[in-house]
Amino acid sequence: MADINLLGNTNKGFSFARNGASMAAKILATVLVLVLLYFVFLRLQISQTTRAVNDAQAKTSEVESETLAGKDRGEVVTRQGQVQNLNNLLKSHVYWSGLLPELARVTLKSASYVGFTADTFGVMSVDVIVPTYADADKYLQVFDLPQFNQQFSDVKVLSISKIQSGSTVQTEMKLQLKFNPAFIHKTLQ
Amino acid sequence: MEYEPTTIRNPGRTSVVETGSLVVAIILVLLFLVRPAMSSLGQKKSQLQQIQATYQNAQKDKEQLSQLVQKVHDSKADLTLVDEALPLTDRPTQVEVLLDSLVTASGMKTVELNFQPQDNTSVGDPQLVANPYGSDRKVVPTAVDLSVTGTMDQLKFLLQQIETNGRVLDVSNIEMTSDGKNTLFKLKLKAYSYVP
Repeated sequence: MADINLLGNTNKGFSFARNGASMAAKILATVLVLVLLYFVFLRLQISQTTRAVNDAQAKTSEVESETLAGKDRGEVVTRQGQVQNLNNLLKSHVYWSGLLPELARVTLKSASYVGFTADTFGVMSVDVIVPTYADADKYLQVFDLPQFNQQFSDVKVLSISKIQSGSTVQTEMKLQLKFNPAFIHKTLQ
Repeated sequence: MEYEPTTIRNPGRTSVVETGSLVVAIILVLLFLVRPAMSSLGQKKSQLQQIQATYQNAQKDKEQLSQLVQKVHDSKADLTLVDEALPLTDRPTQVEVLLDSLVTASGMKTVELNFQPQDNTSVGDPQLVANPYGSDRKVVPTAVDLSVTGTMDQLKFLLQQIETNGRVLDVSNIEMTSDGKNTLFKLKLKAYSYVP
């Protein structure tokens, strides 16, 4: 009787499955080893980077200390502050000398000042002497003319009185007016 | 003879279990070892970049400082002008000497010249003498009252001198009174110094 292998087909399938699983296990084992090697590589990288960080920190501290301890640093810092503050002071520097000629320009020829107060905020008080009431009126009219009221405005008459000066009688006015503060902050031409 | 039942190992099932175990092991290694390590490395690299940038900035600052030191040493003439405009000492006598000379130059006469007393030490600070640039400084104004007699033209000239002389002087208030013969001008001034 000839041998008949009744389980032949089953064994072939079983063997194939077994071989496939075995191959997959080998591949996965290799992958696992590679992953573990990658992990080791990462740890080494971390270690190297940590050393580099510490070195860079030490170098930075050293350079910063050297910079701060520089013997001329104090002078440089002082000079920088000095120049910066000087620039700020020059920006707000006031030039009064330009205001007086401008006041003279708007003043009636027969008028003279016996009192004058002004501050940097643009407020001015003047005591002005004129020969007559008519001159006082002319003096005030000037401030309504566009060509004369560019720098001076809002003139308030605080008082008008007659005063005796020697043998002559004159008129004294006390005025308060505003002037453009920007005018005294500009540089001389 | 005893009969010992033999355990037949199923190779197919074993391989599946091994495969499954390996998959789980790979996942666990990736999750709990590799991923935290990658994250940690990323952080370290970022930290390194930041510190390297700080180091480069520190190097630049150091170079800039040495350049500035050189500039300061090369600009002695300019610094003399700066020292005149905004002195590093606040001796009120300096202002008085200056104003007196300006008044004389304008042809006016000084009637009164006063300064507001200061809180800080004017001269003779041992610390400052030992290390003139060691302390932080600030601008300190010195208020000065100046009364002079003269004409309006002389006043204009005096004001021009005050405005354009080497030291920064600000006139904060001008007052004029006249009795017909003499005209008195009262000026409130501020002089500045850069002192500790």
